[in-house]
Amino acid sequence: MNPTPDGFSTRSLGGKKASGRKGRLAKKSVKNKRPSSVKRIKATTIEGGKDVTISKSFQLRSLQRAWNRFHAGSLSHWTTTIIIALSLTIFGAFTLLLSNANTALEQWTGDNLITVFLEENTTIHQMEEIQNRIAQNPGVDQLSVVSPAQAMGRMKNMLGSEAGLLDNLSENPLPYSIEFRLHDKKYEKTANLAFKIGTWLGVEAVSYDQQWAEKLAAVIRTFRFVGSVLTLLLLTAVALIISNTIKLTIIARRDEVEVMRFMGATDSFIKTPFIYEGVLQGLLGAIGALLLTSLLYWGADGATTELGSAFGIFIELHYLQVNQLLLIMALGIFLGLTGALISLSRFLEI
Amino acid sequence: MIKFHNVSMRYPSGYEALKGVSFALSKGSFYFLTGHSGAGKTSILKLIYRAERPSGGAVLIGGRNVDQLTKKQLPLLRRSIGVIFQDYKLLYDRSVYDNVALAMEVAGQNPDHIHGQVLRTLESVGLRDYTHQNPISLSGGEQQRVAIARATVNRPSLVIADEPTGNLDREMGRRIISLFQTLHKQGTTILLVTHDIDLVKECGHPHIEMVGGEITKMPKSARLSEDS
Ligand SMILES: Nc1ncnc2c1ncn2[C@@H]1O[C@H](COP(=O)(O)OP(=O)(O)OP(=O)(O)O)[C@@H](O)[C@H]1O
Ligand SMILES: [Mg+2]
Repeated sequence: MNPTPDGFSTRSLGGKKASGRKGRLAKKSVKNKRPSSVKRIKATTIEGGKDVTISKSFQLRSLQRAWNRFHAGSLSHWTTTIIIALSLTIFGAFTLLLSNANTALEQWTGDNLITVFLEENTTIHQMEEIQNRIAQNPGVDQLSVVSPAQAMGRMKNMLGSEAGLLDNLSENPLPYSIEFRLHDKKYEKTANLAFKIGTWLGVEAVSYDQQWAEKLAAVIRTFRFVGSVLTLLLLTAVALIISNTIKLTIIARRDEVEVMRFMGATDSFIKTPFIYEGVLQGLLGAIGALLLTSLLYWGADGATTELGSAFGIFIELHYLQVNQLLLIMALGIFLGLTGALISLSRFLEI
Repeated sequence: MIKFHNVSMRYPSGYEALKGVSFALSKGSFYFLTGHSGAGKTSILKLIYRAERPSGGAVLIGGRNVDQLTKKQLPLLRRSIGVIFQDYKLLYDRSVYDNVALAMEVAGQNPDHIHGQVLRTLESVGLRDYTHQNPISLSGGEQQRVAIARATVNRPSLVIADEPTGNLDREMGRRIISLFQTLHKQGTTILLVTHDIDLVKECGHPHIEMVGGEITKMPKSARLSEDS
């Protein structure tokens, strides 16, 4: 394989096959070939209790070796990465759903409009009295009367191209109504006031947007709770699965651990390569999860836009916020790290 | 440097590999350890770097009972000993260079010094041109020399070698022995396990002989004196 005979110290430096790195190595070794340099090698005594610092070059090479194992298609590495990717995708999809629902909720409650529909035979006097009584409540704003003609105009606007249908009506069937907004957007406040106004003479019905909002908020609250619990369970399960697969890699690399032990490696030194691998698996898993949630998002956005346009409303989903993206990345790293630490603490006793 | 006080050792299987072994090797000495297969030679080395613990008696290295070392001290003991394993224990997921450099990294050596020292050591075992190869592609003798380079790269004060010439032809075996002799001249204490009686005779270093877990022959210099 290599034509050079085995020689000792006498052979000239600088290999015949001068590859890039080799050339560099040769030069360096010539430079270091001073007899005094031998003395710089640190003598180890049992007395010197100082902890070993793990060199950057060793850390870099550990990372490189971890990456090489992915490259070589190590089954357990990919299993771990895929499990992390899938679980974080579930988490990401849930986050996407809740965060979009939340936005929808905020948009609803953004306009806390209450509409009081009056009975058909209400007099102007009664109407003014109702207006006054409403105005006496705290936080009432933008109180105004909507005439049947105005109401008809709005309806035509809403119907757009179908507005022609309304032209066939012989008389305007819409009643007078009073609209106002309430500063305090709490559901109970709105609901109580609406109920009170509904009992007044001359009032036909009271409607308010928050009825929708409140239902949506309740659904979101439930989902968030269930989602948090499920996420916690999911992540715990995933951390355990990962610790198990990492355990397998530690067992497969018992020799490496043993050799390092016998050479006098500290625990933290032995752990370093495994921790790097865990973190790398977590990071790659998180990146996978972000790709998958992006796909889900594009799919869902297209579908809801289509669905929305069928009902004449414009729905646009938003993607995960930067902090949510960072959270997923952090969770991935956390999972890889925890998995590695759990298995290391349990299986590194030699 | 090394003292065994009436040491016995039992493997978990219940087999008693060593039965009341006593000897003392002074600092800077060079001893051969010989004996039939299964005599307990490897077991003695394992006790020195504390891969195993004695079931009776005491093992002292540099005046310290290795059985009483704390979790912090044990790595320091091991770093002061260069071990050449019978089965090499090389790592096949990295280059020859990385295998040897690992010993220096483990010991927390200054990264600036690792490079030159690793190359010098590889040069001294005749593997300068193999630095970037994977040890799996090396012959048995070449792998053995990688193991020797790894064990000596930190200039440990004690080198224990389990059949370091076992896989080498006569010529290469002699070269390796002269390498150990160079280390010895520089003050390193050396304990070398071998089957090669010719080699022992040729070198003229004292030798300890074992049979069935007991020492049957050793020079006066290795006897444990009463007061120690
Ligand atoms: N891990 C172990 N568990 C149980 N018995 C063991 C173990 N290792 C070694 N032994 C036994 O202890 C005895 C001594 O083993 P040891 O390895 O010390 O022999 P050795 O002198 O090095 O032999 P060789 O020259 O063949 O390497 C042998 O009989 C062996 O079978
Ligand atoms: Mg043996």
